Amino acid sequence: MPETPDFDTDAALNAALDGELDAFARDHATDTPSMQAELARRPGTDERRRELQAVRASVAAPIPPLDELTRARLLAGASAPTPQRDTVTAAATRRSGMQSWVPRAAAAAVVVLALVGGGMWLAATDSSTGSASKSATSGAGNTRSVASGDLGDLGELSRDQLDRLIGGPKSGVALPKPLGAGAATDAASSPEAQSPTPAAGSTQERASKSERAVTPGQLATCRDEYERLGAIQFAATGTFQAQPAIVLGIKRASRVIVFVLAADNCSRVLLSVSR
Amino acid sequence: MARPLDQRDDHELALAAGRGDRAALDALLARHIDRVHTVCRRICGPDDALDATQNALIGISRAIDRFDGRSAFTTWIHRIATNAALDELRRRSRRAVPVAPETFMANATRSGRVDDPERVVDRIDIDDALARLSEEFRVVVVLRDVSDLDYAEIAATLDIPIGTVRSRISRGRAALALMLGNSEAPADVETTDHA
Repeated sequence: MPETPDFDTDAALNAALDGELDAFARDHATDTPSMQAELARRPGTDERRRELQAVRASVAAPIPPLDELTRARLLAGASAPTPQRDTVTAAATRRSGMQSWVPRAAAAAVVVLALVGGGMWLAATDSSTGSASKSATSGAGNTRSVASGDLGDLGELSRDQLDRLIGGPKSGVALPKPLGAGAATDAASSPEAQSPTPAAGSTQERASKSERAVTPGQLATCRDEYERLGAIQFAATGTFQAQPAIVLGIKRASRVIVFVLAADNCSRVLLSVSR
Repeated sequence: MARPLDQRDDHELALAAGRGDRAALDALLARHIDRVHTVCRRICGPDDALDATQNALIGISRAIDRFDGRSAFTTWIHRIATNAALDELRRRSRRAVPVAPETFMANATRSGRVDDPERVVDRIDIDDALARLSEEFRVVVVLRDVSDLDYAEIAATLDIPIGTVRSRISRGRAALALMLGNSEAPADVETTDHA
C-alpha cells in the first residue's frame, strides 16, 4: 500500500465531490482507497464535506428564467449577426439594460438612503412627538429600529432626481413621511425643499394616494412574514409601477436587503436590492 | 421526412445549423438561452448578464459552422458563454463608469412574477458572495458547478494547468463557504464594486 501522502484536506474533499479523486490521488502518488481512508481518519471531514456540498448547491441553484420579452429580444439579436447589426444590438442591449436596471437600482438606492435617513430622523423625532409609526413597530421581537412612512412612487423617479438624491446623502435626502403624520419638516432640508420642482408636488400627491392604498394590516402581515428572514430595519409604503407597494429593509449579516413587495401579496417581490 | 425540430437532439440541430439551416439554429438558441444566461449571470453578476448573454448568442450563431461534435454541444456553448462573460468583465473594467457614493446590487424581478422571498434572499446571498470573490476563483467555480465541466475541460477552457484549477476551486469554495456562512469576507478574496 502506498505511503499516506501529505495533502490539503479541502482540495481532496472538493476533488471527491467533483468526481476527480482518482486524478488527485494519482498526483499525490497514492491510490483512491488510500486517499479515502486518510480522509476518513482526519477529524471534521464529514462536516466540511457538507459545507462544501452546500456551496456547490448554492452556486448551481437555478436562477429565474428570462421573461418572454427579454428572451425574444436576445434571440432576435442573435439572428443574422453582421458587424453593423452587432454594434447596434450590443448598444441597444446595453441601453436597454441600463434603462431596465439603473432606474430601478438607483430608485432602490434612494429607498435605502431615504429609509436609513428616515429611520434616523424618526428616531430623533419619536421622543419629542410620539411616533406615528409605533403601530408598525409592535410585535417585532428582533427589530432594532423601524421607520415607517410613505416613499411615493418608487418606479418613476427621474434620473436627475436620483442623481441629486444619491449624490448628496449628507446634503439632504427627502425623508419618508410617517404614516398619519402630516409633518412637512422632513423635506425641509432636502434639495427639493430649497429648489422646488414639479415632481416634488406630484410625489406628495402620489404618496398620499399610496398611504390610502396600503393598510396597516397589510404592512403588519408583510412584516410578520419577513421577520423570519432577518431583523427588520425599516418598513415603509409606496407605489411601484402604479401598484401599492410595501418596502421592507431586512438586516442580514453585514448587509441590508430592501424588498419592494406587492401590498396585496407579500410573496410577490417586485424589486430587491442588497447593499 | 425530417423530424420536427423539437424532437431532434442538440448534435443533429447543430450540424444542420452549421449547414445554414436557420430554423435549426433558432431552435438551438431557444433551447439553451437560459443555460447561457445562467453562466453569464453567475460570472458577471446580474447587472451585466444580459449583455454577456447577447454576445454569447451572437458568438454561437457565428461559430456554429465550426462545431465539430467532438465535445458535447452543451460543453461547447458553455465555453462560448464563459468567454463572452469574461469579455464583458474586461469591458466593464475598462468602462468609465462614475462611481456612485453608495454601492448596491440590484436583483430586479419582473413585475407580476411571484417570487419566493427566501429564494430571493438565497439568490442575493450567492450573487453577493460571488461578486466578492475574485474573478479567477469565481470563474472556475462557475465552470465546475454551473457548467458542469470537469477539471480538464476547465483547464483547457481557461488555458491553465489542472493543478491550478484544483487549487482555485478549493480556495474559491472555501471563501464562499465563509461568506455564505457569516458574510465576512476572508482576506484572500477581493471585493467587487457594483456601482
